[in-house]
Amino acid sequence: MLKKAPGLTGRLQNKGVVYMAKVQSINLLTKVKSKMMGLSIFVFYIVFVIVMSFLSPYFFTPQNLLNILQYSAILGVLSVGMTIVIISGGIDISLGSMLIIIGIVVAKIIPPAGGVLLMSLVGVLIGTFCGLVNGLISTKLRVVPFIATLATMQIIQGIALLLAKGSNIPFNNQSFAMLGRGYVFGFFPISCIILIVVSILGIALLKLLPYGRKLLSVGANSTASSLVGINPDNVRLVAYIICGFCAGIAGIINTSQNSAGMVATGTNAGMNAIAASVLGGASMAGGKGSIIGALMGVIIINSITNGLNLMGISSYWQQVAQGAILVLVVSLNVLSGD
Amino acid sequence: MCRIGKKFMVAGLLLVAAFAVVGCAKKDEKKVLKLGYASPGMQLAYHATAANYFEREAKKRGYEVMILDDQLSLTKCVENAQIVADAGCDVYMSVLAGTGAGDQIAQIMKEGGVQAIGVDIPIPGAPFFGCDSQYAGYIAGEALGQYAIDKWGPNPQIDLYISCEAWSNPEINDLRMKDGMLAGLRSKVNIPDSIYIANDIPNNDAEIAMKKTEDTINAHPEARHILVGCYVDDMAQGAEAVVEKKGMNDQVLIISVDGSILAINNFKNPNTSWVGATALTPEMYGYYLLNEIETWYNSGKTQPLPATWGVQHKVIGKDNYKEVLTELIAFAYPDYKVE
Repeated sequence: MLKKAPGLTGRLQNKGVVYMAKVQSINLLTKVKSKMMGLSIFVFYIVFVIVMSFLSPYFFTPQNLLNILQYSAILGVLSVGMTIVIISGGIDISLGSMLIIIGIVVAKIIPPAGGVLLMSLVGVLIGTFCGLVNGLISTKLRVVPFIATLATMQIIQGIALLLAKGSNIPFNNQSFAMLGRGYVFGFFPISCIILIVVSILGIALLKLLPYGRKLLSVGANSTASSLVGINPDNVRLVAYIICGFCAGIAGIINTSQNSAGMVATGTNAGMNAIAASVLGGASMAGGKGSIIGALMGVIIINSITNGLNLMGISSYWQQVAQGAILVLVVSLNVLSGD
Repeated sequence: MCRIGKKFMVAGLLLVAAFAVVGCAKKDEKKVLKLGYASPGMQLAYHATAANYFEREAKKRGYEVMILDDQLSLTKCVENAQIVADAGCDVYMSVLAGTGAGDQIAQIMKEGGVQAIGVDIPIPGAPFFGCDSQYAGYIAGEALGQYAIDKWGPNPQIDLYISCEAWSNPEINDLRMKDGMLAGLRSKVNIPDSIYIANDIPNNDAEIAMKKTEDTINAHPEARHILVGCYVDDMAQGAEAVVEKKGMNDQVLIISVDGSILAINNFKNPNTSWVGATALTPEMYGYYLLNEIETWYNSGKTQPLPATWGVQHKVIGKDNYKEVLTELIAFAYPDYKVE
């Protein structure tokens, strides 16, 4: 309902009405545009799927889409943790090293059969401990998170290589391998179920628990948060612990898929997790992020790799494509004012 | 106080003089052979094994050894080369030097009076030691072709050949995978270019190998007889994971070049598609390197090193890996056990 301009009569009132209508339609257009840009990642993915479906007949098949999901499990779980850390205003680049050490330790102690729960617990504990160390160095020692996690990345990798003496450590525990390679009902990957559970927990943490609100507050404005009685250091410490916990789970899936502790695994895991979180709308300045957005980012990254693999395109072009898409989607997010 | 101070000064000077005399006396002792071995990256299992066994062998023979990590960086490689030259080493061995810094490093070694040896990749003007990548790839390809014939009959129709490669190392990759493995495979079975798919697997990452192999297989759903050749065991580990996951053990055969613990462990699985690997025996790098270096050094550095020499290569499979590896390694390292 268009409002009539107050205090005007006759022709001036009609002109005022027309003017108000134009202003309102421009506002509406801006809002739609802004919303579209805010949904840029989803829009982009839909467009990508449509294009890929034309370029490769094997892309948009149930089996291939499930494959993309399965291979998204490791990065997806890592991204949940990374998003939480980024929201708090921090960063963690030691995730790749955590994957290595978890794989090596589990491979060294895993029994020939069974022990799935115990080994999973070991992996999660290692990841959580690493996260705790990262958090303590960042919050208590006041080391800049990038430097802190750069240091721990090297320390953890060094320890892992010392334990492994530079060699990969394979194992033949079939029940453990099911975590990363197995299916339920014959078609749905177990690793995807793990990803879904972790994601739901992450979303619940951010949306339903008081900690989630504290996290957003600390990330947005640490000083203001402390003035209202929130302890930013504790909030950030918990964020790093959660990130380490997620890395522990990702490490278990990774080790299970490989059926070995591999010394050269997790290449670029940390960077990819950051890229996925940012693609999903997380702000490197802190205070903003979305688990669902991060998962979409993961699926986009893996879909690009998958689609280009199906088309037989060189992995060099895949790197170019991933970088270009990161810039494109993030630019759209920035332009939308998000 | 003045007298006590003077006494302390004199005592101190005498002590310093004593150390200087001892130090000079030490210099007159016969110099022990000092070796600098630069691994391209200690996070790569193959090269870590080669470096670790080299160190073990050198210490066993009573030599001084520096193991350096080039961290897959040419800049670091040159830096390490300078360290080796400055540390007074007699011999410098490097894998990475030949990939792009060969001339520069050859100059550093010449100025430092250090004998350079190119390991696996030649350094200009220097002796070469290492695995014969082309031969290792060829016998692997030949073996894969034979396994295909044994499994699917004479003149089997191969629907897809996936080559998991390492494009970051183009020289060795082409020798091993194209001039070697593909040629060896084609000597046994027909592999037209249309069914040959080459995938780059950065950092030999098993997970990336898994993804790319699965995507390639999915892009060829009609393929019934699939062969997979892998640059190293790590990639084969990923490819095997895909085959197991998809239950395609009857449709796929995998071979690799490496022959590490990954391959050995896999051969214990009776249903595996990973049928063989060319054993490169990085454990023996130190043994064979030092045999020749010792001869050269003991001759007063007058007898030249061979222009080229290396380790033995044989294809191992589930039926023979114990015997072959024991034959190749255990004679030098009796504690080496193939589990």
